[in-house]
Amino acid sequence: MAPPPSILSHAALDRDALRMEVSDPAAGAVLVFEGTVRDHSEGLTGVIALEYEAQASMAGKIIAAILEDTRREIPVRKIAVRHRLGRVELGEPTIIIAVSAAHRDEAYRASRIVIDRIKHEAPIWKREILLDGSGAWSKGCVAHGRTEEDFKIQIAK
Amino acid sequence: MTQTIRVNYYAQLREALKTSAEDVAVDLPAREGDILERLAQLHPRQRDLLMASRVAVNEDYVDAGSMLDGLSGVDIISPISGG
Repeated sequence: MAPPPSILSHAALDRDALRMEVSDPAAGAVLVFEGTVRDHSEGLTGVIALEYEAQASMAGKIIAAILEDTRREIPVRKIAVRHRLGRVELGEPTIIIAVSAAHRDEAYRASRIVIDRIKHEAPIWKREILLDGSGAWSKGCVAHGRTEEDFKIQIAK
Repeated sequence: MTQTIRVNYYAQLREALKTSAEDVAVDLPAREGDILERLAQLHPRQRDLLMASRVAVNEDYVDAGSMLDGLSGVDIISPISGG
């Protein structure tokens, strides 16, 4: 059997391939979520690209664990995720999450949990690149690697 | 006991400190906050970013309350922004 494809990729993401990866005869719903590079962020306009960096080995392990947890918690058929590293141009996908499930509700819930947990837990950083070539590291997630419970505590403060 | 550990930096911290790793003498056992405080003393201009960071050992985030001992190295995970 071929080794599983790496979750983190410097190459452009292949949406169709990921969709195929979650094909399942018992699935009545397939959901493909795509996060893309937008032209602005908080207090910043004219973003033309993002540059991603990761503690790749740790990020891969954490995302794999998130998928395992989600499969255990929600009766989905299959989940597949790819996250970009390196420079990603405006409009291109930065992350794709494909989920198949018997019913749409499970697919939506699983997809939401996976993207939220990746944003809160995976050691991945992005720098926003502007037209003049300058760049600024994104301020980062407030939850930042803490559990959902810690996150709630932090918000409550 | 004072022990020298390898400290790895990424992204904005690596850029701000102009290094991806350094050897730092720390008193062990120590909590996450003690290690970050030690690094903040060494790099006072990056105190805010360091104190907002998490410590990972063997590629796992440590619990804030855990006493860490017998370390050879840590990863300093500054606020993340994946997705």
